[in-house]
Amino acid sequence: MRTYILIMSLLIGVFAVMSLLYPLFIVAIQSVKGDGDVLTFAVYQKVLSGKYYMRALRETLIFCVATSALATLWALPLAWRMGRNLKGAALLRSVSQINFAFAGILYGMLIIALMGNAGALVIAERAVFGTEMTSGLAYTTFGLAITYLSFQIPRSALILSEAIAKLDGNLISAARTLGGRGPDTALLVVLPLIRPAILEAASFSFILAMGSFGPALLIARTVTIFPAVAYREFTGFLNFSVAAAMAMVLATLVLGVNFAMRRLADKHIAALRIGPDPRRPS
Amino acid sequence: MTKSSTLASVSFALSLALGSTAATAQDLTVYDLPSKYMNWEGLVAAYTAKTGVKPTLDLKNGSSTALAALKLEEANPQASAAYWSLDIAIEAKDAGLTQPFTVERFEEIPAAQRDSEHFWWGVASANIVIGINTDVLAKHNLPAPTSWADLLDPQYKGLACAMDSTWAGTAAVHMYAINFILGGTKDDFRPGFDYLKAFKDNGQSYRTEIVAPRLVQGECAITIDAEGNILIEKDKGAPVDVVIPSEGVAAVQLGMSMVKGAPQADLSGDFLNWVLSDEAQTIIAKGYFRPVIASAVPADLAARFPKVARQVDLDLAHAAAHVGDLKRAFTAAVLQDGDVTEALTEIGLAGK
Repeated sequence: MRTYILIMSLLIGVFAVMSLLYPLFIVAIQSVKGDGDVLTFAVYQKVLSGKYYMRALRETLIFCVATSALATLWALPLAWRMGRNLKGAALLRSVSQINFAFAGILYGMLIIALMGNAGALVIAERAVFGTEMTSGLAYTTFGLAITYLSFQIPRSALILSEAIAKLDGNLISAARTLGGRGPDTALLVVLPLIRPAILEAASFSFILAMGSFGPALLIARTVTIFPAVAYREFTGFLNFSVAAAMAMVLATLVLGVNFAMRRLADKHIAALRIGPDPRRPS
Repeated sequence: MTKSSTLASVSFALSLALGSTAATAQDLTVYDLPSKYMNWEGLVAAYTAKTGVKPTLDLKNGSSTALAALKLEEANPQASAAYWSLDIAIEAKDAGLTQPFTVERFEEIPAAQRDSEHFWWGVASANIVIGINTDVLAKHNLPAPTSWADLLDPQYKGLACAMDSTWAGTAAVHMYAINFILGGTKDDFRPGFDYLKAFKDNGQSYRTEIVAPRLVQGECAITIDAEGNILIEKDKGAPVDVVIPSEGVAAVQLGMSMVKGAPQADLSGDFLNWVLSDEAQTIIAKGYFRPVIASAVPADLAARFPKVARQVDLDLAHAAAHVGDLKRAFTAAVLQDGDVTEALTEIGLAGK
């Protein structure tokens, strides 16, 4: 057993180095190379002071924070049903998990098929109402938000459902016995208990959103998505250093936010001091 | 062995066997052969049937994407050849990413469409025109547009799609050529860029995908695309048609090059020669792209091309020299809602 764990850890380590650490190293080197072979931070200066890049980063950040918060909130009822194993939980869980099979560009395509200029929604609207107001909805901020939410909500829900499943049922029964109705129990008992999981689900959704550029390439018109801008620098202008620097800035920012969220979540767990950490296996 | 491990090993063996039968045709790595552009799926099918060698379809689609990929792989080239617009082919030569290769029919290519040092050569050209989906326009009760200016008309708001010039070679040529069609000069790109900006301001879109399938689906009622992509779908029965704008059209010159340090130099050489053969040039003509070797095509096929009243000729060398800067200006002025004169002044093309 010991040797098995050792071998597996080694394999995982090798995989992590090859698939993440080494490419990350290459990108980092590329970002400080600039035009010549001298290592310089000039490219970072260009990116961090460039109006266009910073505007894109700002817009993307605001958009992703908004959709992550919304996704996590929206996922709560879904997570409750799945976590407490109520009717339909198995179906909801498998639908949420199918989500993992879809890449970002696929979501863009699905949204265009649904809400584009010739999408299913327009056809339905034309058949029922004779109007075409929903034409092109995919290309609005609303359409982009729906696209992001469609991959954020299932994943938030899965994380939250894990935490809800580990809730001590006695606490909820006790709350009911003491006279708490549904909403009271939810707000005063359940939410505080799963607050660490909410923070985790929100920050995970945030990471997903910040990194996705597939939908942006196909449908983003109103919001300038930072990873898509990096892609354009890369393929449109062959500006590898700028694209690499943008990637490093994005990674640092997102990891920073995630780290901060984790610290916050840990503080909550310590403060709760009721039962085991809902995120760790008991 | 346990049941699950037997199952695992049997399925593994099966997948190996199936995998190897699928690979009996030999793969030839070529960049930017989009299946829905210039009927590359037809061309590749014909070549594979003839030789058993299968050039890769839909790998690094977009002339700019292919160029970026080659630049990135400079130290260890993965592809042996590329297909792209000739202005980007010149950029590739200047960047040292391609090598000279003398195709057998080099002398039959018009001088303006081949590199004297054999680094690139044309295989076809196509006029960039307006494509329309007749069904969708009928549903909106709109007449077909007849000029470039019509696309700026509010009645066509949001209905037209062009390709993003930082991604597609055809779009890059359109970005360059529209200036000359609308009266600009080599030093003054304001007429062209004012048009490109007004296009976006009228709700039209610049897309990072091949727009021909979108026209067929009806997702785009109007497109700006190479004429062949539209006409080949029309032949298949799609409700689409070509409109030759009254102000005039320009052609995108399409060609191929051999990659420097090509891993499959011999195989790709055969393929590059085949693309200029009578067989391939006829397939290209059937797809309504104008073959570079006009004599290779029977007269009745040649007669099917749309007639053009005003053809604007482009200076390939000037285009190649400036298209990179123009893409920058396009991103700033059009995509980021900047100021046209300011963006063009920065690259020195805002008139004297």
